[in-house]
Amino acid sequence: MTAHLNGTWALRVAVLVGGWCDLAAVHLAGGETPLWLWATATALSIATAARPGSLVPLLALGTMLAAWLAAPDGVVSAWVLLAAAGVVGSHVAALLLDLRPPRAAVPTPLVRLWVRRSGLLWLSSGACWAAARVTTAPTGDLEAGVRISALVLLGLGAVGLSIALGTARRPAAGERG
Amino acid sequence: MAWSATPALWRSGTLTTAALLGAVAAGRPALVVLAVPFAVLVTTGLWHRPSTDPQVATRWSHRRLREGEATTMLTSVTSPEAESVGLLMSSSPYVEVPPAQRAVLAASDSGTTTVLTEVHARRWGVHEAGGGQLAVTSSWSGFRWGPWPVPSSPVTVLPQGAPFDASAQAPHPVGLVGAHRSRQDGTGREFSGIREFAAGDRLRRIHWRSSLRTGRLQVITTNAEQDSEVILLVDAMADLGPSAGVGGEASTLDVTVRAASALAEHHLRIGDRVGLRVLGRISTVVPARAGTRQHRRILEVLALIHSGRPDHLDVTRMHRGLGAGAVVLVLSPLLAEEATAALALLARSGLTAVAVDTSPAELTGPWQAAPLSPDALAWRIRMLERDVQLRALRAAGIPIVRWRGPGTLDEVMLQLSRRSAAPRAAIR
Repeated sequence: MTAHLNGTWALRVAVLVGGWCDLAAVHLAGGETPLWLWATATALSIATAARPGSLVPLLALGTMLAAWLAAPDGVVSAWVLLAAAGVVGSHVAALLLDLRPPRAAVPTPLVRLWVRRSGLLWLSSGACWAAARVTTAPTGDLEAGVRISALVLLGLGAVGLSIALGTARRPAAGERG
Repeated sequence: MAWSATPALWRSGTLTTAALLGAVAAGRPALVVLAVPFAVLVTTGLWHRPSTDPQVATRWSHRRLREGEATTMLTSVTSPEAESVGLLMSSSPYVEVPPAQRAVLAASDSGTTTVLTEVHARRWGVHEAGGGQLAVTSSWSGFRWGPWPVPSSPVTVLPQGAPFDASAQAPHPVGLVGAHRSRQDGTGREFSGIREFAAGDRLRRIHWRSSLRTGRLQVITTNAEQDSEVILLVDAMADLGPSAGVGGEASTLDVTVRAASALAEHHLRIGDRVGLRVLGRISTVVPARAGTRQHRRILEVLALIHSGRPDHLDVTRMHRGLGAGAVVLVLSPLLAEEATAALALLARSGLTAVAVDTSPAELTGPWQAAPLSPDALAWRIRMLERDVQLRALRAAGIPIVRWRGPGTLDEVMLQLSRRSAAPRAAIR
């Protein structure tokens, strides 16, 4: 029972901390993060931890992404990687909380699998960030829209790479994981 | 039932679209970096979209058990695309699932996922157990199958025998073999006396010491050992008081059924023939027989008992089919008039009838909260009437003993054995 509580509480805390990481990254990247934004994000994260299967997680993550509209134009700060870690952590924690029936614990192998996957997801963000750093470097001739469109294409390439490398190994029938 | 997209997949898709549109429209490349993980999740989720429905099967280790025992239910889900299986079990007061196993999420690491659930039987009867809901999630949590209702299965819980033992002999042993001492001499083990040798006596019964002393051959005589016919008449016309299952509070029917189980077990163990008659919503008759199979049969009939009054009950025919030497043990809280009437008629017909009072020392109920309520007054009037009826039964020579487990019947059986030696009139 204690292990079950610890497990679910860890996931709920991950949802909350993920939101804070995202807002902290926006702030560190030079964006404005007023108090009401922190309060809204915190309230939505708490609601996400309580109702992970509802529409609230969408609002919470949407708020986290929208906070980046306050970031300086055209800059891909390294702090976006902290935000990516927070957003991925929050989303995966909500996903695991929604997977389980009410009052059930999340089995350790499943948590371990999703921790590995979260790492891959964050790496895909990292790859995209590295590509963005290259493409958003001042070249003089390219328009911002063109550069961002190229970045989207690069992002899609990173997605393809993650699919190729990020699928969990499926043990053969009869093999215990 | 079909696979449907999970909220996580919808969320990832919406966020990917919104973030990419926002990035292009507002010129925020950081949003593309943040959208990539969600795009990966959408793509992998769709990539692993399951094509076949999972196959669900449930299996029980035992479907017939005694009160206080536990059985296990195995729920197997076969699906090559499943990544996790969630199972939410329902639990009832008398068929309990441990709290830690009521809701389970199991990781599927191969084609078949098996979830083991313990089910504890708390009260006798036939209970529906193992019902619940099941959901299967595909790889990368893209699609979910369910919630699928897991059908419940009937589990027969046989009554636990209350502790019981008796040392008294049956008043009318009538059979051929058994543990009761007969009044007639025979080939038993119990010493009866010494008499002069007669033609037909076995040589090994010669008592040499007496023969030498008297100068004539003397033989030892022994009492024959016979079995007895015991009929358990179970009054299931009412069930009063709360029932919390084995180890908890017991209702009148709980005490009655467990006492019947204990008496049947005791008498069958010592070789008696035991029969069962149930006075309830469904009246049942189990003819008197001996043996372990009869014990199981009696327990199964007891497990099927439901309290309630029969549509038609003719107590005047109650003694039909009962042997002349049968001992009828009427297990009843003695609250229904039909039960007391049956008891009186059985005694009048010449059978040895004993009332075993299975009502608790103090019945609890909603009437206690309001002593002046109509319910409370009605109950007090009924109890006064019951006292009058019990006094009348005792005056008619019918022994009434309160069920208290071991030794309940010792004194009354001893008195009946003595009384059986005296002549008496019977109306048949």
